[in-house]
Amino acid sequence: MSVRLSADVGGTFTDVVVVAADGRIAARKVPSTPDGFECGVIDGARAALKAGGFTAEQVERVVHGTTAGTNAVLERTGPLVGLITTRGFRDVLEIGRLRTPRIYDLGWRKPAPLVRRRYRLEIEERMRFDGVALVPPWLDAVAGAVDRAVAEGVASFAVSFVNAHANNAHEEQVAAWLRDRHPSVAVTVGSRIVAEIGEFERTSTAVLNAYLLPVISSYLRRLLGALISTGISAPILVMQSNAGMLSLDEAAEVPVRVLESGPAAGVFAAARIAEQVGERHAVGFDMGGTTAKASLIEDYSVERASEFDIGSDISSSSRLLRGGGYTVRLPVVDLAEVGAGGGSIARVDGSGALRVGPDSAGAMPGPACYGRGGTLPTVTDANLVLGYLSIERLSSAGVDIDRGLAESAIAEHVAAPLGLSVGDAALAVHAVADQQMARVLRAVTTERGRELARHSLIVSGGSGGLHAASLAAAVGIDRVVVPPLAGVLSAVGMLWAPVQLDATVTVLAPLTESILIDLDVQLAQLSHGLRRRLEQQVPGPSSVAEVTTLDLRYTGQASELSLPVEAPVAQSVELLESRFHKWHAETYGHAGMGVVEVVRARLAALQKQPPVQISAEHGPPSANTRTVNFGDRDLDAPVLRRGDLRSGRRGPLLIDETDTTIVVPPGWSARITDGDIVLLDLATDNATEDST
Amino acid sequence: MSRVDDIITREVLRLELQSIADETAIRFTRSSFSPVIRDYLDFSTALCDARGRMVVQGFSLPLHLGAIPRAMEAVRERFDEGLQPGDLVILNDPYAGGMHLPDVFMIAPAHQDGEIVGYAVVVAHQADIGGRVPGGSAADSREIFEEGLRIPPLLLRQAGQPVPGIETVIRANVRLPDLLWADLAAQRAGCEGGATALADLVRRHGRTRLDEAVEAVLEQGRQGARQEISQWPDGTYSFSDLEDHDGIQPLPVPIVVQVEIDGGRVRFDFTGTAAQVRGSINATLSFTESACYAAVRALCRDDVPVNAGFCETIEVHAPAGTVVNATFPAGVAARGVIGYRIIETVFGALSGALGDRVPACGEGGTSGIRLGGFTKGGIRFQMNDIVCGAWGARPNADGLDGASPMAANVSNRPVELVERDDPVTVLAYGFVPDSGGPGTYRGGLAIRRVLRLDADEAVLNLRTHRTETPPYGLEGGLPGSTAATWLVRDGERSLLAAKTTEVLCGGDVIEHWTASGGGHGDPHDRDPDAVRTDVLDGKVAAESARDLYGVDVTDEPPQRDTVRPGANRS
Repeated sequence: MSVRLSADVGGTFTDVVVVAADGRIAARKVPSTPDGFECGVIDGARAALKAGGFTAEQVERVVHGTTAGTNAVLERTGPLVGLITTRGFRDVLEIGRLRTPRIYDLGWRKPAPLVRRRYRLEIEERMRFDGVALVPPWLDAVAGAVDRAVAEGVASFAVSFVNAHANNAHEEQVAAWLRDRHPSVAVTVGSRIVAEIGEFERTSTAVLNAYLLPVISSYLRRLLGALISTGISAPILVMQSNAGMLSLDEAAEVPVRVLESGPAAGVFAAARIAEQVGERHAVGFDMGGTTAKASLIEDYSVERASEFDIGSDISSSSRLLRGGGYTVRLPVVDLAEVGAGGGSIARVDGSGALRVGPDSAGAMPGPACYGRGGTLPTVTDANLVLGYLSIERLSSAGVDIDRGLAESAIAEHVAAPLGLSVGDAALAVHAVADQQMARVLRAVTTERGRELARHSLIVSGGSGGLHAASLAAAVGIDRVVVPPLAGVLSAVGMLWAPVQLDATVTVLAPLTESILIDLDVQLAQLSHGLRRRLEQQVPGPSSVAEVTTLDLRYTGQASELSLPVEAPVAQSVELLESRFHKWHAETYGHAGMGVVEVVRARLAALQKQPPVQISAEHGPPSANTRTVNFGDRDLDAPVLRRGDLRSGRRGPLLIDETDTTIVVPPGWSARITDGDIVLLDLATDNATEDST
Repeated sequence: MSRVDDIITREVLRLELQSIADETAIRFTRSSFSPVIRDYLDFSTALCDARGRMVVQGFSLPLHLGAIPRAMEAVRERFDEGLQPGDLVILNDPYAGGMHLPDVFMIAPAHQDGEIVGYAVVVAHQADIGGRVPGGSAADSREIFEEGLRIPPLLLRQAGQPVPGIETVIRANVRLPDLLWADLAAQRAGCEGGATALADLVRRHGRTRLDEAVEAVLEQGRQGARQEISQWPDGTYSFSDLEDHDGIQPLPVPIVVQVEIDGGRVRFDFTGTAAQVRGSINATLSFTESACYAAVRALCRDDVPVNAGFCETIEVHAPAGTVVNATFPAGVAARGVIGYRIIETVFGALSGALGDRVPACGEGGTSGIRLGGFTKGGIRFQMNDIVCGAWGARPNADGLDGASPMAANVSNRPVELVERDDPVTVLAYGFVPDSGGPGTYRGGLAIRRVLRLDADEAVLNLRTHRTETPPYGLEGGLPGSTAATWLVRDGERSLLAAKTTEVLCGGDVIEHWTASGGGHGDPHDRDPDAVRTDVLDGKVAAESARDLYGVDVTDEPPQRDTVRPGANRS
C-alpha cells in the first residue's frame, strides 16, 4: 500500500505525518536540527513510519515545508550577494521605504541590507516608465567591478533595474551577459520573479532570492539525498508562501517563493476543514508558544496579501507599520499575528493594569512550571494552575512539570499586586491573553468591514484548543472547530494543497471592454505556459484548474481589492463595476469615487493532489477526571478522547490528545463529526443532547 | 461584579478602544487616494471621551499629538453638547482648532441613549486646499489669507445628510476638487465608522463601564509618564538652535528652550524664542505642544500610552506672538519647519539630563519638493515629493542611513510611481557619500534626489532645512553636513534658497541633498573596523578616515562610487 509523507520543518520542531491510501495515519513531532534541517526530517520520517507500521519503500510522494530560508536570513548564513542596478539607484535597496516599525523608538536597529554597498554595482541604462528603452546597458563600464566582486567571493547576483516591470529586456540582456562571463555565479533576474511597479520591492525580492538560492538549493539537494539513503525515492513537492505546492526543482530555482511555507500550509488546511464542516465564514486561529495568528477564510478560500516582511519583529505598534524586516513582494497567505502564546509573560504595569505579552519566556527558560529557571508567570503556567493542562501529558514530552512553581510565579507577580487569589489571578491571565488574541481576529474581519461574530473559529497550534472556546465566547463567536492533528495542521495542509503556479499581468488602466479583451489574449498565453510547466512538476495524469482574479481599485488609490472572476474576463463591464462598488462599500463604508481601474490580473493554475482523508489517532476511552477552575468554583471535569464524543457531550470537559488539549467550558457542548473533527457549540436551547 | 471581572473588563475595553482607533486608521488609509495620505501616511486617528479628552490614538503622527485636544476644544466651544447622531464636524482653521490649512479634521460624535458618549477624530493632510501656491505648504506666504480655504468648525453633515452648499464652496476653492472630495469621503467613512463602533461598544458594556475604563486608561498614561519622568534627574536644562530662513529671506530665527524637570513633571519654557516671522513657518501652540509631547514620549523607556493623562504631566509655555505660538493672521502653512526645530532644541536641552538616550541631530526633517503645473497633454498635476532619511548618531549606535525622522515616520514615494503619475524623471536617489557627521558613532548619510521636469513649465515650491546651521553632534561628535539644492538649467548649476518658489522650464533638473546626521562621541574612539567597513562601502572617504577618524586605510582597495566624495557643493 502506498503512503504519502509530509514534513513541516519549523524553528523548534519538525512535524511529520504519514498517511496510507486506506486512511491509516501516524504523526510525530521531533526536534528540528538547524545545523542541517534534513536530519530532523529523517528522524521524524523514521519515527512516523515506524509508528504507523509502514516502510520507507511504501512512500510514493513527499510534501515539504521548511523554515530553512527564513532561518538563513535570520542567522545570516547566506553567501556574499551582488546587485547590478540602474545608475543612480544603488542605494534604493538600503534606503527602502524609510518608515520605522515602531513610532517613537529612537533605538531601532535597521536590518543590514543583504548586499553590502560595495557590491551594489550601477550600470548606465534606462527604461522609461512606459517601457520605452532610452539608454541601452553599457556593459563594458561595469565589467571590471563585476569581475572584482566575483574575485572577492560574490557567489550570487541579482539584476534589478528601474522600470523593468514595464520592459525587462535590459535585465535579461545583462543577466545573459553575466552568466556568460561568470558561469559559476547564480543569477536572479528581478522582473522574472516580480513584474510589478515598485523598484524597491522588486529589488528587495530579487536580492532575497539571490541570497537564498545557494542555501536552499543545497539544502534541497541534501534532503533528496538523505531521503534516498533512507529508502524514500519519491518525488518531492515544496510548499510556497501562497499555499500552493511547487516541484523541488522550481523551489530550488526560486526559493523566495517558499519562505512562509509553514503558516501558509496551516491556513490552507483550515480552509479545507471549513469546507468539510460547511463553515462559509470562518477565521483560522493558530496559537503556539510565542505568537497567535489569525486568517480570514471566506467561502472556503484563503485570503492572500501581495507583500510581506521576513525576519521582522511582530511587536509593531500599528498594523500600518510593518515589522521592518526584508520585504518580499509575492503573494502570501494573509495573516495577522500578535505576540501572545503559551510562553507569553504576564505582568502588572505601573498603573495596575494586567498585561500579557508580547515578551515571551521562549523555549529557555520557558514557563515557570518547567523548572528551568524561569520565575515569571506565563500563559502556560496559568493554564496549568487552572487545571486545563495535564501535568502527565506535559511531563510525557520529557519536561518535569512543577505546578508549585507556576503557582508561586503567579502569586508573586500577578495575584499579590492585584489583590487576587492565585486561582482568580490565573483566570485573569487566561482572559487577558484571550483579549490580546481577539485583536488579531478583529484585524482580519472588522478592519475589512466583516462582522467577527458571524464567523466560526478553525483552531490549530499546540495551545489553540486551550483558549479557543473562551476566546470565541469573548468575541461573540458560538462555533469552534478543532480538526484532528490540530498540533501538526501545517503538515496536514501540505498533503492537501494543490500544485500551484501563478502568473500576473500588470494592467494599470481604466476598466473597459477593450482592456478586458486584451487581457484575455494575454491570459490565454500565460495559461498555456503555466499548464506546460505544471505538467513537468509531477508525473502522472491530473486535471488542471485555473483561477483568475482581478485586482481593482478606484484610479488614484494605492490599495486594491481582489475580485475572483470567471474566464474569459471580457464580460459585462457594468457587472464587474457594480461588484467592485459593492465590495468597496462593504469593506470601507463608501464607494463610487470615480473611475474603476484594473491594477493587475492574476492567474493561478492548480493541479490537485490525490485526496487524503485524515483522522485522529484513536486511543482507548479515558475515565479520568481533572479538577478545573472556570471561575465560580473548582469542579471535576471528565477527561475524554475524541472517540467519546460521538453522541455529543456538554461541558465542562477536557479532551486530552498527544499534541493538544481541548478545553470545553461550561455552557459549551462538544461532538465529533465526519473526519474526526470536533465541533464546539455555545449551548442554546436546542443544543446537542447530553448523553451522560 | 467581582474584582477579577473588573480587571478583565478593563483590559477588554482598553483593547477594544485601541482596536477601534486602529481600524479607523486602516480603513481610511486603504481607501484613500492622495499620495500624501496613502503613501506618506500623513494622518492621525483618535477616540475622545464625552468631555473631549483624548483616550486612545490609532495610527498617529507624533507631530499631531497636541492637535486633537485643541481641535476638540474648538468643537466643544462651538457646539457644546449640541451635536446630534449623524452629525459630522469639519475644520482646518489654525486659529480655531486647526494646525495648518491642509490638515483637515473630521469629528464624529458617538451617541447612546440620546447622550454623547465620545468622539471619533480623523485628521489628514489633504493634497491641496487652495491658496496662492499649489500644495498649500509654501513657506513664503505672509498671511493666513494667502494659504487657502479656512474652515472654522462647521457641520459637514447633519443627521446623516450633507449640509447644503459646503461641498460647493470647498470644491470652488481648491485645485483638485475631485481628488479632495474622494479623500474627504474616505475620511468621513473612517471617522463615522469609528463613532459607530464606539457607540456599539458602549451599548454592549454600558456607559458606566466605559467611563471606568476611560479613567483607567487615562491613569495609565498619567502614571506611566510620571513614573518615567520621576526617574529623570531634576534640574533646569537649556538649549538654543537656529532656523536659517524665515520663509521669505535667509534670516536666522532663534529657538530657545528651558526645560525644568521637577519630581515627575516636566515644563518647557520657550521664552526668548524669536517673534513670529513674516513667512509662514510659524507654529500654532497646538503644534508646539505636539512637538514637546512627541519628544517626551520618544525618551520614555516604557511603552507609555499617549493620551490626555500623559499630556497632563507636560506643561508648555510658549509666549504668544512668537514662532512657537503664532497669532492671527500669521501664515503657518510651513510650520513643520519650526516643529522639527522645536524637537531638536528640546532634545538638545534634554541631552544634558538623559545623555544615555538622546541622539545627535538628524537631517532636520523632511524636505518638501513640490511641483505643480500642467502636463504636455494639458492635465493639471501636483507632485509632492518628500525627501529625508538621515538620523543623528545615538549614544550606542550609528545614526540610521535611510530612515524617516522620528517625528514624521513618513514613507518615500517609489521612483516608478513618481514617473508614472507625474511628468518627472527621477535621475538619482541615494546616499551622499562621506557626509555623515563623524563620531564614535557616525551620523546618518545625507540623501540625494535628482528630478528632471518633463512638462513645459511648472511651479517649484521648495522647503528645506539646515542649509546654514548644520545638525549638531553630541559629546564630541562632529556636526553633520548642511543641506543644499541646485537648479541645473542648460548645463548651468545654480544654488537655490532653502525655501523658495520658482518657475521651472521643461528639462530643468533639481538636485537636492538633505543635511546629514550629527555624530556622537569623539571620532577617534570609533571602532577602526567600522571605519574600514564604511570606507570599503563608500560611505566614508579614505581621506576622512585618515584625517577625522585617525584610521589609515590607504592600503585597502579603492572605493567605487558614482558621486565623487566631497564633491564641490556650490
